[in-house]
This record gives sequence, C-alpha cells and structure tokens, in this order.
Amino acid sequence: MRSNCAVRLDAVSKVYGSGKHAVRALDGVTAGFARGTFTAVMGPSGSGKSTLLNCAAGLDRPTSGRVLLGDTELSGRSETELTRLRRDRIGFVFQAYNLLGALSVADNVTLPLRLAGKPVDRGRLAGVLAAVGLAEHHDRRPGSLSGGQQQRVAVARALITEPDLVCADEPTGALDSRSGRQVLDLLRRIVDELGQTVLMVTHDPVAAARADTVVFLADGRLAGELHRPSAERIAQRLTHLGDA
Amino acid sequence: MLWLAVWLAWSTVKDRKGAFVAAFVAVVFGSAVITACGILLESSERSGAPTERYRAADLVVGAPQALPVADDVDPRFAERATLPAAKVAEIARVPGVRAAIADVSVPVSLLTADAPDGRPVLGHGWGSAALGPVTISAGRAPAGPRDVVLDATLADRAGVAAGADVRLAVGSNTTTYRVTGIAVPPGSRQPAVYFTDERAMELTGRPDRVAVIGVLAAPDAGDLARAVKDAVPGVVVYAGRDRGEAEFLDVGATRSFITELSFAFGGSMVVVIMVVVGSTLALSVRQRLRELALLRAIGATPKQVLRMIAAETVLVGALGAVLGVVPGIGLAFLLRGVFALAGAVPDDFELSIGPLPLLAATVLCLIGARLGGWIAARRAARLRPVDALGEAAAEPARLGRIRLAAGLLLVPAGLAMAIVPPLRVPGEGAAEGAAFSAFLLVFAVGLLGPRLLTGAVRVLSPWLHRGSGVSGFLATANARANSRRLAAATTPLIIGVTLAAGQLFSGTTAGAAAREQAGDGLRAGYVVTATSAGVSPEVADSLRDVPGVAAVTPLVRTRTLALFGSGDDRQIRSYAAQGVTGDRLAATLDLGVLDGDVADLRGDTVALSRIAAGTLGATLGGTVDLRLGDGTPVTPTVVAIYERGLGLGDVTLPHDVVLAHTTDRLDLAVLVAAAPGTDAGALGDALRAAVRDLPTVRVSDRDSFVAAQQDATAGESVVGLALNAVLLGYLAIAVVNTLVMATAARFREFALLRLVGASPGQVRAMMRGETRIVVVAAVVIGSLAALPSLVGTSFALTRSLIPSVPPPMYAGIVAVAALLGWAAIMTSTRIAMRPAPVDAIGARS
Repeated sequence: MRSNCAVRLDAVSKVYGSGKHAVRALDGVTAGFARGTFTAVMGPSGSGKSTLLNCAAGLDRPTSGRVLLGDTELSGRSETELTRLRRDRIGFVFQAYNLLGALSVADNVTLPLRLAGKPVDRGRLAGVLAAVGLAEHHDRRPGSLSGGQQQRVAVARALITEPDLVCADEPTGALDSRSGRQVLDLLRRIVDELGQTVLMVTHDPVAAARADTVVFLADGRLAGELHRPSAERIAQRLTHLGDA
Repeated sequence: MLWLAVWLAWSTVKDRKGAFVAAFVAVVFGSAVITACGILLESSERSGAPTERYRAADLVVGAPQALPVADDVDPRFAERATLPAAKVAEIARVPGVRAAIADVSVPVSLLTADAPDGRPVLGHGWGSAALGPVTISAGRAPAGPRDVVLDATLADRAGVAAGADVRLAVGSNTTTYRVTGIAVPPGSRQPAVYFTDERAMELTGRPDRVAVIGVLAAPDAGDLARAVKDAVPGVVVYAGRDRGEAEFLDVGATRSFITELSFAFGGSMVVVIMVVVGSTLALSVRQRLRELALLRAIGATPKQVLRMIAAETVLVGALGAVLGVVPGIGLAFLLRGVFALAGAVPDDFELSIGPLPLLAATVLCLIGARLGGWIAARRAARLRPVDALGEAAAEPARLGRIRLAAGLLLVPAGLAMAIVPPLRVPGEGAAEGAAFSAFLLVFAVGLLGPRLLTGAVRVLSPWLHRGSGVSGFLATANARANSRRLAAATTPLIIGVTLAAGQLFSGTTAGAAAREQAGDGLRAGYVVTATSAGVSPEVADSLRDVPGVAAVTPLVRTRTLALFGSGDDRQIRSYAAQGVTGDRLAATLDLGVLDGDVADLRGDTVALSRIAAGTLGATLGGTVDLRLGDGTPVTPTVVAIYERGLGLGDVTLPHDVVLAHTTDRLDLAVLVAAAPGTDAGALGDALRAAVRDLPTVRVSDRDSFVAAQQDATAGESVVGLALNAVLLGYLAIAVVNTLVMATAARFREFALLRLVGASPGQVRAMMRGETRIVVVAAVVIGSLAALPSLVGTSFALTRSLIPSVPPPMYAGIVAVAALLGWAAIMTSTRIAMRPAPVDAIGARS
C-alpha cells in the first residue's frame, strides 16, 4: 500500500543532553503530512518546531519513535544512506546562506543532481528556473542577485530533484515583505501547480496563512491545528498557546 | 575605558579560542626561535673555557687576535697571532711585574707502535709550568733537548712512566725522547707535553716569536693590567676569566662564529617572525569583520574597536611569547648539539640561560603582534558598520590598480635582478643581487596572487580534475570564484617553496661548483698528507728528487681578511686562502687562470679568484690590502686572476708568505705530478719509499684526497642546513596556519553542501581537489619564482647557467609542500564538518 502521506512522524521524541540538563525538544509527536499539501509549523521559540522539521527531513535523529518518508523508514539508517535519501527525495530552503557564491545560478540549482551523479536535463533546469521566474538569470552569480531572488534560486534547487518533500526553515525570515511574499507565492504555486508537498517552519502568521494547514507546537507537543486559517486567527491562536 | 577594552578582549579570546590559535601558535614558535638565538648570543658572550695552564698567571698578554672594526663584530684572525720575543723583556721591566714568562705551543703527535695517537697535543717549554703551576708527580723536569715531561693523561694513554722512551712527531719529524717526569695535568681540555724552553722555541720554527706571555705580579702591584697596557703597545692583556681566551683559540673563534650567526640569522628571523605574526593576526581580525562591525553598529567608536583589538593582540602575544620561551630553550640546546656535531663549536661550549634573551624574545614578539594587530584593526575600525556587514560575504572582484601595477612592475624588476648583476656586477655582489631577485619575485607573487591563481586554476584544473566528477567541478568553481581567498591561503606556501628552493639550491649550486672545481683543479696524481697536524715544509723539498716526479707543490691553507673600499664605506671580507709555490704550479694545481700568470707568484704577489677580484675591485698589476692568517698586514700585487676560487680558495699567495703566518707552520698537503711517461704505480711506490721514515706521512692518490677534502667541508653545510631548517620550519607553521584558518572559516559552505545532498566524502573530495590546485600552483609558481635567481646565482658563481638541483631534494620540497597543504586543509575540513550541518548553517558568522 502506498502511503498517502509524504512524511509521517510516529510517536517521535527528541531529547537533547542527558540527566538533569536533559531538554525534551519533542515529546511523542505523531503527525502525517499529506502529499500535495502545504503545511506550516508554528509555535513559540523553543517549542520544538525546528526539531520537528529536522527530524522529518532526516537531518536529525529522533531519540525514540519512527519517521517514515513515504514508505521508507528513516530510523536506523547510516549518515550516508540518510544523505542519499535527502539528496534524492527532500529539497531544502533555509533562512539565509542558501547558495554557494562560487557557482552560477544554474550550477547551484543542478548541484543536487550532480552530487547524486545524475545527468542534468537542460530542459528540466530551464523549466524549474522559469517556474521560479529566474530564467534569464541562468548564468548570474548569487552575489549579484537580491535576497528574494536568491531565495527563489534556493526553491528552484529544492525542486530540481522532484522531491517527495520540500522543507523550508523560515524561508522569508531574512527578506523584506515584498520579497517574502514572492517566495511564499512561489511555494504556494509549486503545491498547487506541481503537486509538491511543502513543510515550512515559520513564526510569521502572514506566511503561515498561505499554508493549507497550520500545525501548532508547544513544549514539544502538538497543540492543535488550523485549516486554511487567516493570519488573524493564527496570531490569536499563537497568543493563547501558552494558556492551554 | 581601558578596562572595557581589556574585558571585551578577554571575553572574545576566551570565547573564540579558534580564531586566536593560529596567531598564538605563530607567536609561540616565533618566541622560541628568538629565544634560542638570544640564548646562543648570550652564551657566546659569556662562554669561555676557564684557563688551565695559566691559572697562576695574574695576567696573560697576547697579540691582537682580531681586526678592530668600529660598530661591528671584530673579524678574527684564523691563525694564532704571535708576539716578538723581545716583548718578554719589555713586560718584565714594567713596575709591579715579578716575572714575565713566555709560552709557545707546538703541535705534537704522540706515536705509539708507529701510529699517531688521537689528535695532536700541544708541546710547551717547561718554563711555562710556573704559570699553571704545573707540578711534577713523578720524576724531574726536562733538562736536555731529548728530555720531555708528559702530563698524566697522555702518559696513561701511551702507557709510559717516567724513565721510558716515547716517540713524538713534530710536523713530519719524529724524534725519540726520554720521559723525565710525569706532570699533574692542570685541566682536561688540552693535553700537553713539556720540552726544555730552548727545545720548544726551536721546534716552533720561529725562535724570535712567542705565543703568549704570562705575567706574575709582585705584591702590591696595583692595577697591573693598566700598567702593562700603557707601557707595552700592540698587546692585548687578558685577566681573570678571559685568560682562557688566550690559551684556547677556539673559544674566541666560537664566540665570533656564534655572535655573527646569532646577529645575522636571529636578525632576519626577527623580521620573518614579525611579518608572520602580524599577518596571521591580520587574517584572524579580517575573519571577524562582521563581529567587529556589529560592535560598531551598537555604538563602539572606531577607537574602542582599535583598543579592543590592541588588547586582544597584546593578550595573545604576551601569552604566546612567554610560553614560547620553553621550547626556545630546547631549540637552543638542539642547535648547540648540531653545531657541536658539525664541529662548528667545541664540545664544551656551554649554554648559559639568563633572563635577557627571554625578555628580548617576549618584547620582540609583542611588538610584532602589536604591529600586525594595529594594521588589521585600522582597516576594521575604518569600515562603516554596514560596509563591514556586507563585505564579509562577497569578495571584491578585482585587484586595486596600484597593487596590480606594483606587482606587474616587480616581475621585470625581479628578472632584471637575476640577469643584470651576474652579467655586470663584479664579485660577490653578482650572486647576492641574483639571490635578491627571488625576494622581489616573491613580493610580486604576494601582490599578483589572485591573478596568478586564477591563471593557474584555468591551466591546471582540466588535467587535475579530469574524471573526478562533481567534487572536481566544485573545487574548480570555488578556486575560480574565490581566487582572492585562495591566493591569500596559497601565498605563504608559494613563498615557502621559493625560499626553500632558493636557499637550498643556491647552497647546492655553490657546493657542487666547489666540488667540481676542487676535483678539476687538482692535476697532481699523488697527494702527500699527514695523519698528524700537517706535513713539514721540508717534505716537499725532499720529494722533488724522487725519480719520475715532474712537479711538487706544497699546499698550505688559511683564511685571510681583505680590506676594500675607503672612508665610511670600508669593508672587510674573509676569504679562504692557500699558499703554493708558483713554480710549475699548473702541473699540480690548475686554478683556471683567466688573466696573468701564476708562475709569477713569489714575494709580494697574490693571485685572486674572479669573484674575489671583482669584490675587491682589484685588477692585474694593482695591489690589494690583506691581513694574513695571524693578522700581519700585506699589500701584494695581483699577478693572476683565476676561475676556480670556490673549490680552491679565493686568495692564492706564495707558499712561504702563508706558511710563516700560520699557527702550526705545517702544510696541509704536498701535491706531486708525475713526469710524462712515468709509470703511475712505480711513482707511488717511490714516493712511499721516500717518506718511509716519516710515520705520520701518507701518500694517497688524487681521488681519495679529493674525497677527504669534501668530507672536511661537510660540516659547514650542516650548519647552513640546520639554520635553513629553522627558517623553513617556521614558514611551515605560517603555511599551516593560513591554510587552516582559510579552511575552517568555510564551515557554513560545507554545511550547505551537505544539506543539499553532498556526503561528507564528497565534501572531502572537493577539498582534496582544492588541495591539489593549491599544492600544484604553489610548487609551480614557487619554483618559477626561484628559478631566475638560481640561474643568476649559478652564472655569477660558475659562469654556467644550470644550477645544481639534486632531484631528491627537489622531490623533498614538493613532498613537504604537498604534505603540509594536504594535512592542513584536510584536517581542518574534517574539523569544520564536525558540527551537524543544520547547526552550522544557522551559526553566527
């Protein structure tokens, strides 16, 4: 049976440190993120939202529980196997420092393919760059692009491998609101038009409002979710998270 | 205000140890090298063996043993300077002098079973025993010309007691003496035998000269040293500790060797260390520009930033300088050991470790750290906060126009330096100019580094990374895009390769030329040498009559000082010199005469090598101002100029002139050429028969003499190699430092690569690719920068364009460069990849 979820967390806990100083960043979180959906993860600082993203993406190993990327179990795999899985099936967009300054836009975008030793399909590259609206910047260096453009290059790179999941950690955190909106538009569009699955961590209710579902975290536990919420509802919910 | 800076600095240093490790290491090792030089210098000042045979003498009077020079180390005479015997009476007449006793030293070999025993011992007149005082433990003092007293050490060695006979060789003449007594040795440094005073004087061959005069003071003599100095001109008076200096010539020779070495080597190392410490600190400051910009942004004034960096550098500098003192002491002992092994210092040369060198090292390192920190900080403080925040991310695309122009101008200047002086400048200046070319080119490399690296990457990448896939592609892309960063990291390695090649191969070129010249120049088929101190001059005469001998040349070696220039520009150089007879010289020793005729070498004449003549500005028929081995001034006329100075000595004087002014008055060898048609084996037998009665004399063939001479010069190159090792070792630290810092700073790039799917292996493969670029570029550019100077040096020294580059040595340089580059880059890559990529990418810059 092919799972309906792009990624599924099953009773995932993550403890940092040990003994007295142990910090429980995730505490038995079970969640599934359906294919072709855009999910935002929100919560106050220290709620475990980045840990959740890192565990889902195979960047961090849960202390207990299972993570399933499609039908593939992530726990118990070596770092090399995880690297291969990430390379082939997960795309990443970070807050900042997303691109290698030494490489052109096209080379940055195709880097995951090259690292995987796969042939670079020029047509696909052109398609992805067109999708993020940077077709004409093919040979530019990242240093000559604006922050928003750089972030769109990062999205293009995340898409080049046709991944099962695109993970974005505060992708608009370092951008002005206009550029941020463009990047969110782009993420929305790749879900709607390309059927991609996007999992995004953010603290910005406006950004989260573009998602299909917003999942709230508090103290390492799920604290409810909202479907197609407005930014106001999200903000309201966030304010009262601590009260629950 | 100041405390704020210190507190900020301390917190930064404590928190960001990594950024300061490199500077700290550079300071520690720099301090160690300066400390070692300082200890050697201080030890040489304080060194000196305590007197043994002059303990009872209140004063010891000798002839000046060095040429006094204002504002510099006085160059020493290579041979013992002697006093006219008449001075004894003169000194004895000085009021307060109870007795003035002359002492002479004759090199003697003690023969046991017809073989000489160990190194030559010194023979003295028994009269000098009063200066020890040397007492007799058994038997009586010598009374007749065949009487001798041995000290107990020697008697034990020879296994003789009072009343026995011993055979002693003085020069080549062996005589049997009766041991009339055994003396209590006054020390262990130099074994001695005692003849009667008359016999000792006779054996020196110069009965009118004495080596030193010991003075016994009368009671209530007052300041006798002053009185002697005033009353007797042209003498040096030694008292107290210094008396050993008059007794043991090697003490003074060692002192001047170590002093010159410490000043010359230590001085240049101080400059190198200050540059390395300064540039390392500058690099560490540059890597923190964002942090410093943040400080500026939150309200720190440029002055506060300057102060904070000053406090940091002083903190790191002081800590490193003080800690470096400990390995410095170890390095001093190591160098002392190497010098002693090479025979450059006597085994009993002791290091004295005082506070002064340690203090000097600390202060000099602090100055270097302070200067480097100041230069870097000025730039950081000048930046506007926004500029600094932006600049750290993107590197400026192009080199400044002035920098480019200066670099481009230095290249032809460096090439000209390698070509013009060897063609135009006479003497040593030619080779020195050529060597300077390497420095100009290294400077040009520093300025043009990014351009050169871009070019090198373009040329090298295709074949370095053929088939290495994505990691090679990434390495090439990085190298192209970050040529400036790459150049900054590679430049020290290039400089290291250039200096290593320049230093080592100019040495091997000179050494190979000297060996070749010595080999080619020696025409004699047979060489007569001695197992004792030398060959008596009469041996040469006796060999002239051996049938089948065409030419006989006695050969004596020494060093002369040459004075040239005038007024303030007066200079002194020390040259290896030889004394030979000009008669039929070409048959035994071919100096490679360029001009004039060595057959005219007699009386007040000299032949000079091309290089020496060039330096001294001497021409055929002109005169030169020389000091012979014992300091005697002569102004001989130049009768010939020759090529083979490196191998055979730069100054060739008539045999009798040189011999009379050496300590031992013995020949090093006698060169014998066979007459045409003579059977070589028969001549050898005839020569051996002629010296049958001289047990210390050996007849050897040409090749074994050449080989023995080469072994004898090996010690000098050991000292040179040891010093080069210290210099290059220190540069290696600088190389590793810059490479590690440049690599470690790229942790976020590595994290990003891993997040987009690169395995740690792929990142390492990429860095291996960059290492290949760095190492190959450094070796190629470094070798090219050294090449002109080596060709120029070779042409200046030997008139040949091809320098001597031993392949194993060059392979060693390449291997060390590759190993340093690889170890530094790959280790720091591993360390930079240690944090989890997600943590690293979010980490502060």
